[in-house]
Amino acid sequence: MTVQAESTSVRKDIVVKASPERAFTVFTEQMGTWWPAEHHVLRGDGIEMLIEPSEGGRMYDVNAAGEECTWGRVLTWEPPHTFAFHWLIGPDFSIPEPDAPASRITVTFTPVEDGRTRVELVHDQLDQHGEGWQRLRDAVGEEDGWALTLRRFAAVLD
Amino acid sequence: MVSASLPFVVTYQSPAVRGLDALGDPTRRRVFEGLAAGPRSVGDLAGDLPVSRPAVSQHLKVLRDAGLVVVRPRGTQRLYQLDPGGVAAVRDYFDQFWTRALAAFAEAVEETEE
Repeated sequence: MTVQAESTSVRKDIVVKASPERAFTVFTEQMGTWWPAEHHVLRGDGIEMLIEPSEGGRMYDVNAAGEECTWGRVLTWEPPHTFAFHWLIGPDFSIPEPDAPASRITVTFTPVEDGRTRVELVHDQLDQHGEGWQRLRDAVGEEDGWALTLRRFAAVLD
Repeated sequence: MVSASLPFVVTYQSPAVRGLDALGDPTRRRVFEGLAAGPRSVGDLAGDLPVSRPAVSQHLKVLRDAGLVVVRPRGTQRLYQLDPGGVAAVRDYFDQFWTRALAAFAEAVEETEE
């Protein structure tokens, strides 16, 4: 049995009341306004999320102390249609090495009726996070809230 | 929800998490990568690697103990394969994460709408 492509990718979509241009802008230039706060790998106050807006551009966090953490790399920059990037962070959410194995996220912005936009996100090549995957499994074995939650989640899926 | 309760700082600092790294050994990583395309026997794997068959068996044991690889019989052979449950855990994790992140994104977009 090979690992099916389906099992190594996540696909999500959501329709927003905004034009593709606005959706693209908020997704890329205002990432810090919506990104779940506990999911910054960099610590400290005043964390901003910055993207260099071109192919090969760095995606990084910077805090008030001026510390930086690069967590992604732009693969496709085609506003307002497509934004794709390599994701360097493993499931343990530690600060990644520059050459960390990367999965890929592709976000497409498609106009639908009533001036709204469908935003589709595909996060694939997740098997690239081999090492992080193992750490995740180790973490699941620890007696803390996350482990418990993950086990409950896994139980629901079984 | 998984991502809502994820204390990533604790996870990040945990010696148990950082200390155990079955893929840190280069040969073991090659054994692991040798299974990427599908299940294989020890002998088959050893044919591709500059190490003995018993050494491959030992690496496979470590990978099994780490939950990265599973073994199952096929006829008279024992075939090793990547543990699909391992990848599934990562996938489930990101599935939850993006559900939450996109919902927050939609709110942010609509708040900024003129």
